[in-house]
Amino acid sequence: MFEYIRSEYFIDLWSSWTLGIASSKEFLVFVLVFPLIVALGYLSFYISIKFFSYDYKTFFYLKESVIFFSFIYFFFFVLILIDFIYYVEVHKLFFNLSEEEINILLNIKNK
Amino acid sequence: MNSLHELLEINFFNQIFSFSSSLSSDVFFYDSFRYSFFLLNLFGFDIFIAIDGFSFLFLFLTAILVPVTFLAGWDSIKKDYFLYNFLIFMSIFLLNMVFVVVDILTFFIFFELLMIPLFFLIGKWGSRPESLVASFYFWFYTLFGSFFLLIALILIYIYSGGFLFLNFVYLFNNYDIISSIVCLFLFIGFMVKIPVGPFFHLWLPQAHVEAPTAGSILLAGIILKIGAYGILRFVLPVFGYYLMKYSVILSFFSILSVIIVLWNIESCNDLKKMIAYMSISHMNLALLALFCNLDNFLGLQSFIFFMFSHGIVSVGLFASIGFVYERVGSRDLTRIFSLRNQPIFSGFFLFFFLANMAFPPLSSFVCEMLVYMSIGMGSIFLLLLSMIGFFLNGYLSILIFCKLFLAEGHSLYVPFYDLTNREFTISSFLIVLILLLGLYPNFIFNMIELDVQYTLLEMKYFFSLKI
Repeated sequence: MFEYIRSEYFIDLWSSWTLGIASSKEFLVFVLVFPLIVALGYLSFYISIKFFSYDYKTFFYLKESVIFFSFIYFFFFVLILIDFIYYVEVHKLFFNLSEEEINILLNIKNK
Repeated sequence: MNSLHELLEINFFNQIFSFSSSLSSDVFFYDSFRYSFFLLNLFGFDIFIAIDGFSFLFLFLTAILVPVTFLAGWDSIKKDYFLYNFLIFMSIFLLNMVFVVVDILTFFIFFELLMIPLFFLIGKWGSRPESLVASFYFWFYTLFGSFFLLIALILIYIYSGGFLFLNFVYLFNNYDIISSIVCLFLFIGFMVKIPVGPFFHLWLPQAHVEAPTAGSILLAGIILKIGAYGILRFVLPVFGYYLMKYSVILSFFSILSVIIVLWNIESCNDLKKMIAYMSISHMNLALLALFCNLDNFLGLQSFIFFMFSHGIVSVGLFASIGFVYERVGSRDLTRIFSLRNQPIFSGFFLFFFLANMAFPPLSSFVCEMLVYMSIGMGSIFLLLLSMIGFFLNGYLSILIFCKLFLAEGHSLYVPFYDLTNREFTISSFLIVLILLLGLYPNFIFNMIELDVQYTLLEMKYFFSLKI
């Protein structure tokens, strides 16, 4: 019984992440624009170094930050991917929806 | 899945038929995209965005290659690291936009803007002084293609008054000659990006040779695929009829470039140039499969899966050659001998070359099987000719591997360390992807299935209008 409750809890948490956040259009827009935000950040650092002569060595973990941003970006896409491909399957599995209800959901999603 | 399919199919026919009967407000938003439509307000500009299986596939490919790109440039980029990061993230943002915008004018704007970061990436961070020449090659060839795209855009606007799918349909229904010219010009614009030989491909080996490893990864992984995406998105659904009329000539060009480009490799010494030529020949092979089965599920599916698989395999090859360059300081095959003191590196390198040769359990095997099936269904003669390309590709892959890792002799300088953690991460990430796609290709086919069916439905519908 305990195992059952725990698995239910995990599934709820996971589905709220994948379906709640990843299926929203705001999240998709954020992910699409995310590289632009990061790029502008790096440009501002570049300008501050080049034209205002800040010390280059004050920027610690520069390369690590790039890798961090790139992996975060990849992770966002994996979330959207789950939502994008397995939208119907995940809904069927987690929420026990009928065909009709799924059609209604899809209509809302595709609008 | 069936119910979803039926639902979308009904929607499609409703929209097409309501369009042909009257221009209702619901139909105004119909495009060749199938899923989520929304408006993105970017610095005051309204950009209409939609995402379907094709666009998501290429977006996902971009997302996969972002960490690989940055990890590949970890040690090799010494100067202006902030600017370098800015340009790469900027190009990734522009790629994102290219894959999601709805109308062809916005697509064209982002497509053109993409040249700027790549021009600087190749010119500034290239390994040799010749990199500036290569970046100008890249610039002028892309401008050449854009010139045709621009004329096509202007023609579309003059004759139909807009840049949406609806305007394409209007043009197709009312102006026969103009729409055939538009189709041809759009296709030439995308031909430069794919690139189709024997003339349009000349910029790519130059750009690859001179670009830093990260630039090569972006070029081979995603930039080449924009051409394919443009054809899938803007040319095929409405103008597929004209492509079918020209398919004999186009497949002739494709097969010619598959063989000629591979034949060129014999005279090359630069490793990156060799891989660049192989990648051109592969892209043309996929295009040939598309032309052989334009109106068929197999042709489209093999073409798209090939794009995805090639995006990962060629990136693995270019990244490995970047590792060789970091060790030896040269990419010249006549000077590098024997990296045989590095067993893990040679194993990974062999894996990528086997993937390039379409070795069975790997993703490229699945897509090349589909591609050769598609070509064979089109014409046995073309299949036999393309087998020359298959043979040459395998022969050259083995030759390069043997020269690099198995030859006896003295190298310039070979360090005594095997793959570092960073290099191991890049290679293993790509290897896992190649294996997974080979063992479970349905993952990609599920993603694109509905969209392929839609595109075929659209093509058949417009084809029936002309007949």
